[in-house]
Amino acid sequence: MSDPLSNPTINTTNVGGQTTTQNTIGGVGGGKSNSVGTPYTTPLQTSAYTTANSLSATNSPIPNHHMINSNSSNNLSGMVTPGGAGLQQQQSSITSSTNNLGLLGQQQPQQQQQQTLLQPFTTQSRLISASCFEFFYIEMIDCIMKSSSDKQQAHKKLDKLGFKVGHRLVERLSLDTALFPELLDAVKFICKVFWTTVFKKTIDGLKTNHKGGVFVLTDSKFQWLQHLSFDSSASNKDCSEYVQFTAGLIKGAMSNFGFKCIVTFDIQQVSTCVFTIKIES
Amino acid sequence: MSKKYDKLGNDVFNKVEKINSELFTLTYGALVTQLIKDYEDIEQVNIKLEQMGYNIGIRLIEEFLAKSGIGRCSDFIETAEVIAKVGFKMFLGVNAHVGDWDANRKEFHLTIEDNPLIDFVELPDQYKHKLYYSNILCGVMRGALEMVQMKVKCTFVKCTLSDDSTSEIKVVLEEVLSDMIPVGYD
Repeated sequence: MSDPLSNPTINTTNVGGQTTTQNTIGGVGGGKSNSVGTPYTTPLQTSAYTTANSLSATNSPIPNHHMINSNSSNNLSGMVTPGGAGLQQQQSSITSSTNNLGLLGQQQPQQQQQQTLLQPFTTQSRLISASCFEFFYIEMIDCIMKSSSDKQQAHKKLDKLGFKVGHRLVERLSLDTALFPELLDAVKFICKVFWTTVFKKTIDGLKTNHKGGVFVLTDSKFQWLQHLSFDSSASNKDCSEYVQFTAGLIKGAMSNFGFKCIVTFDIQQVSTCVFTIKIES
Repeated sequence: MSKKYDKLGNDVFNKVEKINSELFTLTYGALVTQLIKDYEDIEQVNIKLEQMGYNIGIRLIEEFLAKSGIGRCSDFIETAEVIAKVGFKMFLGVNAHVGDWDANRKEFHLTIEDNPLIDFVELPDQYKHKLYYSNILCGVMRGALEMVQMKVKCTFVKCTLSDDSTSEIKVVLEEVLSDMIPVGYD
């Protein structure tokens, strides 16, 4: 069922990468990168060019992979309860870190260990200062708000940007994950792995209606609103533009999993955000 | 001096809160793409990126001074080492090198080995040597240094996206700003 939906997406990504300036996931792009981790990263990048079926754990190029017979249910279960599967995955991550250490030298072991602990269930990747990204994010929002003729257009732009980023980011994050057989598994991935990567915490609440087409995600301390201060004299008390990008992230991620959806959000009180995902079908 | 700041850079980077660099790379890439669509002229995109970087830099310097514990630098040479070994390491997790000083010690080249902004990025031929993809870094440096009373001019002279082997930023110290007495206090 999901295969016909997934293949066109991947093809589109490949075609787009050849016609304009944009981020391209693939071996060619990796070849240009000066990343120290290239010898480790390149095989994973190459696998992104294969069909959706090949993205399953069975075909993963990582030699120490322990998920050959796992399905996504076991994977998600391992996240909830740190049992054998979770521990094995951590072992795999640590082994991968060890492979990298030879290239990075002695100063890095502590950093690598932190990296493993911060994201035990995702592909190893570089880290930057969180404040660096947040400064950039604030300036990006400001730039787009100023360059748009009205607020609605700005929100559309932010949503589109978020869609692009979410679509690509989730492709990187799910390299080691088997295909999701059910919609709920995809949403759980967003709540756990995706949210941890972007906000360093899991979503605080997940609700769904009994038909399963609507999901409500609650984040009680939304990271990107934490540092905003309140000015009672300001004419604009609405900070929804800081959240619109995140709605786009979710929409893009779900799109890459083959589910087209509408994402709306509500800022309830200081820093509490509720995202509603409605699946289109 | 270089080793001392190398160690400090590593210590500070280990302490700060960190995030996946791919989110940063992809978000920046999406923004640059949007700017190219919005502005017809590539030169305008470069200017816009630099302006955005300036606005980030004037805020970033507060974070830098608070977290790193560095005091006032004695001269521009020390400033350059601090930027390369502590600043770039702390915020981007990369090593940068200072070289090519001129005779007056007012100009140097900063070489960035492993710029996280350009992971996954390819430039079509018509943009090579025209679009300075990482120009936001020039703006950040200018903004940050202006807040510590150094007026500088930063330009990219080499970029790996334009088929050069490394990324290099030329930094020229134009003047040291003097303190102004606040209005109404003189």
